Amino acid sequence: MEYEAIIGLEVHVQLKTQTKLFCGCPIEYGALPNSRVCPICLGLPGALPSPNKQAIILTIQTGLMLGSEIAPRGKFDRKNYFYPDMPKNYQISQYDQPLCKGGAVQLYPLAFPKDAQKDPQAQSRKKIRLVRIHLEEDVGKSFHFGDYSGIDFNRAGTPLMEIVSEADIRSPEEAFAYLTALRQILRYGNVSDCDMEKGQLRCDVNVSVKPIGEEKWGTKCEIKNLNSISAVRKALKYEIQRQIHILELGGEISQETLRWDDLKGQTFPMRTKEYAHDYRYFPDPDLLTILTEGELIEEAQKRIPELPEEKKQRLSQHYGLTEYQASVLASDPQLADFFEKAAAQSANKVSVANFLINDYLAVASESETAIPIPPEYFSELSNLVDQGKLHMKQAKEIVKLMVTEKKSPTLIVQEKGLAQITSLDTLDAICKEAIEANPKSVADYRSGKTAAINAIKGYVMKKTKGQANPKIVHELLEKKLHELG
Amino acid sequence: MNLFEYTISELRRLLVRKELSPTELTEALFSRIAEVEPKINAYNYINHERAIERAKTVNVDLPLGGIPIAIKDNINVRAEPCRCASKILEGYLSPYNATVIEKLIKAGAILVGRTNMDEFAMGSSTENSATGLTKNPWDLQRVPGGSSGGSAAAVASHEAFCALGSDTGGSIRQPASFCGCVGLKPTYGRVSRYGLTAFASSLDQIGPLTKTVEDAALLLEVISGFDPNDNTSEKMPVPRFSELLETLSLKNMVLGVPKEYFIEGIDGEVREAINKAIAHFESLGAKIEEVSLPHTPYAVATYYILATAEASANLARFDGIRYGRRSKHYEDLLDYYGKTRDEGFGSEVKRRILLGTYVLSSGYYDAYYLRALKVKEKIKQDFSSVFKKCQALLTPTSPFCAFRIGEKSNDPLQMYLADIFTIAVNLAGICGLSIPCGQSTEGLPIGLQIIGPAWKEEVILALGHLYQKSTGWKPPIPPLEKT
Amino acid sequence: MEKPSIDIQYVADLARISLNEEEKKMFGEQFASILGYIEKLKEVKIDDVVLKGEEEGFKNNLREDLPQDGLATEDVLRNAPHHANNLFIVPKIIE
Repeated sequence: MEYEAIIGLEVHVQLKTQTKLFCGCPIEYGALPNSRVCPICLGLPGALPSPNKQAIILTIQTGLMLGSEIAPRGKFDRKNYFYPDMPKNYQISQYDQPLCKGGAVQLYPLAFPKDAQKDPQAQSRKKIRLVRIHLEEDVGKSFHFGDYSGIDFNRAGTPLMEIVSEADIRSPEEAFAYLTALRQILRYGNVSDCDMEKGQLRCDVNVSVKPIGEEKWGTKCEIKNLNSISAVRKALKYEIQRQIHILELGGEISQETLRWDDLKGQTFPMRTKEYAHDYRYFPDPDLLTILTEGELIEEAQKRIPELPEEKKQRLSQHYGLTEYQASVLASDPQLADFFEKAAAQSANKVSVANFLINDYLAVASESETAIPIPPEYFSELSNLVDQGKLHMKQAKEIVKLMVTEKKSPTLIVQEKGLAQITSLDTLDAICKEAIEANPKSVADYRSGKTAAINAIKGYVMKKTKGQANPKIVHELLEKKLHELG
Repeated sequence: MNLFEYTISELRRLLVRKELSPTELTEALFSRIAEVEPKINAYNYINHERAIERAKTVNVDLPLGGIPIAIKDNINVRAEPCRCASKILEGYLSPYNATVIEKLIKAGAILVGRTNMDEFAMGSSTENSATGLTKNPWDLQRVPGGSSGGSAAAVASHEAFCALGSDTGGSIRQPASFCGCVGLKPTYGRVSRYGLTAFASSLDQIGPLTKTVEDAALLLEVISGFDPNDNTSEKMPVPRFSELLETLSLKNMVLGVPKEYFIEGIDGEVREAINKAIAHFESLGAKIEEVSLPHTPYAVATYYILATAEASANLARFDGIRYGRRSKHYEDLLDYYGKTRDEGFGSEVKRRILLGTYVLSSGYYDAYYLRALKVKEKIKQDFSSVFKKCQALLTPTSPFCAFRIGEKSNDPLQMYLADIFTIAVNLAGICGLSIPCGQSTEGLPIGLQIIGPAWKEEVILALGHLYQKSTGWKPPIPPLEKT
Repeated sequence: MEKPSIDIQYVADLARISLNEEEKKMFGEQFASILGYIEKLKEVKIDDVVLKGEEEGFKNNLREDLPQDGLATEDVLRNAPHHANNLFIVPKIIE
């Protein structure tokens, strides 16, 4: 029997604000434990929350970028449960009136994992619908030692946006593409850096399987706290197989909360909490309504940048790039900006794009977010090639040197003596010498084996250590050989 | 006249003219405390040294320069305990000042100590305190009321010139009435709650307890105003309440008497005293009109749903992890929570947390919480419609005088009904003032409640001041005896 | 609704308060009487009430995103029943 998976994602994204959601404590990753806290985020008696305007604007902006409907009134609720990393033992969240409802994330081929980009599913341009986006406060961090745990509240109160998708996802690869596309938009909007290593984007996954054609969905399991996009794919692959296997053996799936062990490559049930979940949501009486119409929505609108799809179209039309080139550049707004700056001063825009995509990205380190050299270096490089001062092979080498040595191409060319010899006098003399030194090839050429010219050319290139302009050399040699009669 | 008998307005004149130094004044108060405190037990904590240090350097030209003040034990003062009369906050030292404390310090006040209360402000008698009972200065076998019983008893027995209390369902006005002093519950949003340990966030307000209405106006002026740290505080201008006291004319003024506040069960002597006070206002030229607040009978039930629900969440933070007392014997994390909270909270607090947890629990939200929110709206509407025809309302503060210690402590529902006349004011978010208006034959004070519309404290203060001036009010010295 | 009955154990578990049998019995009886009293709210007609959530003329009251000083670490940890290495210590959290 063939099975299909039904997948929904809950993504938690830390917003890029300077301060926490309800207090002025700075957000700082890696600070000394409990050094970025105040009476509010520590939940001291008498402390009250004071909502961060920026966090609300960023959430609305996200909703607008994803086509959500923005609620005219925002409201915060208390979600009650006891947990040592939660200072007040309730979390301020949004229950029945999230800031944003609906919306969608558009998948595109490059968002899929590399090994799946050629699959039909990668070409489908599917839209994953969203249920809602709401704003809440993050909890502290726990560390476990033997019989006890230690809590650091520096993270407690960081603004966290929860983005809930419909169960529209049908494969681990789609889940991967959804997260990639979502992350791209969040980075585009400067809403979050989405650095998964720092826990700025975390993901819970709901998954069930059912035989294809079956109407009724299967029992779903939730995999909690996945902290990389590839872990989401791997965990889903594993979990879908696990569920299918149980069904094939005639078993039943039990509704469970699971955790993913990346080292073992398996999901494991979390030890069930002792008590039922009864969160007793009610409106937080410490916080007033937030009216989104007017200032907040207007401010959010102002911050919406050109989105990936629009950027791709524009790059392709304006610079004459292929769809592939445009989408690679558009996948990262910083890269696209960089390209546009470099292309502005370059005669051959396509060659700038090629240097960036084929040569720069190949050597760029994953962890480096910003390109470490000025865009003018790429303009220069492409112009040198275009003017015949460098040949392509040399230029490709120079890209590596530009990045590692952080020097301009002109400087590299000078230092390494890489500039092409274009001086006709110099080349003329060397060509003359080459003809004299290769009588056999000259004879062959003259007897009609025109390919023999390459051997003579090889001599010139060898003599000039490859710096001779091959085009000019070719022309000179042809001319001289013909002159010989 | 003894120095401790003075009102703050009188003291201010002496201080500014340098006829009295803040140190002398503070020492005089401490000797009164030493004399009276063993009988009353109004304070949970006294910081003599700190107060004297402060008295030496304080600028008397500030609005409250050199005036000693007592603070209810649920308002945070940096480097002082904020015990909320609870075992669970044993040993806690607050690392920050409440906004009202910042304002008092800026205004030159001298903080004397912390007054006793019902644990976490839950109660009407100050019997629910982990630090011991406070006695009513008029009869030491009776309760001072609650929850700000310590503040009221301290002011009434002149071991404080003034105090701050907090009022969620009558916790300033009812003890003021029981002890024979003045207590004001400001409009919700008038005074910042930042630093007030929350009981029911949508109802809590800090307010003054004083010897005279004039003093209440002075204190309110200092503690009021928008605070960015309290999202529910309002950007409303703060009138100079103390300067507006004499500007009121009773001509063309209509004072409403809500018939629902003169029900069966109200003590005969209380009824008589209130009627006399109403007649007094009439004699001064006010027009008295009977009005109706039809949803009054539902106020107590509404209150006990909303207040307990909010409290169940507000008090969840007391878990023995970041601060407070923890249980010594536990097996695991769950047991740690359960025992810490069972041992740390008194019965009334547990009762309200459990009730609040229940009304919010799955399947009951609409039937209890949502319904209560809607009834609260009805109660609010009652008041807005009567305030279209009258400027203020006159009612008893409590249906009876101070009761005996232990008299109601075994029947929570009877205790809850002690707040029957004060609760609606909190639910409607409006302001209310309790002033002494006579005594029972047993010598117990009776309180008149003057209720005003939201943001009209100047009206009820002026009415209270007029009453005190026209009746020649002088803060009495209670006998401090058992009757 | 029939006479309200309350599952004290369930509620106490949610509220994380370990009650002994005596307390459970006492609270059970008191809740029956309090909830009985609360039942009177059913008499109120509330169909016409719309909860808007804010007063007329309400304006947002939001904080600008500017960092402020927090507490000194010694103030943070001073009240902790148990702390080590700047962390608050609790019995092992089971996930």
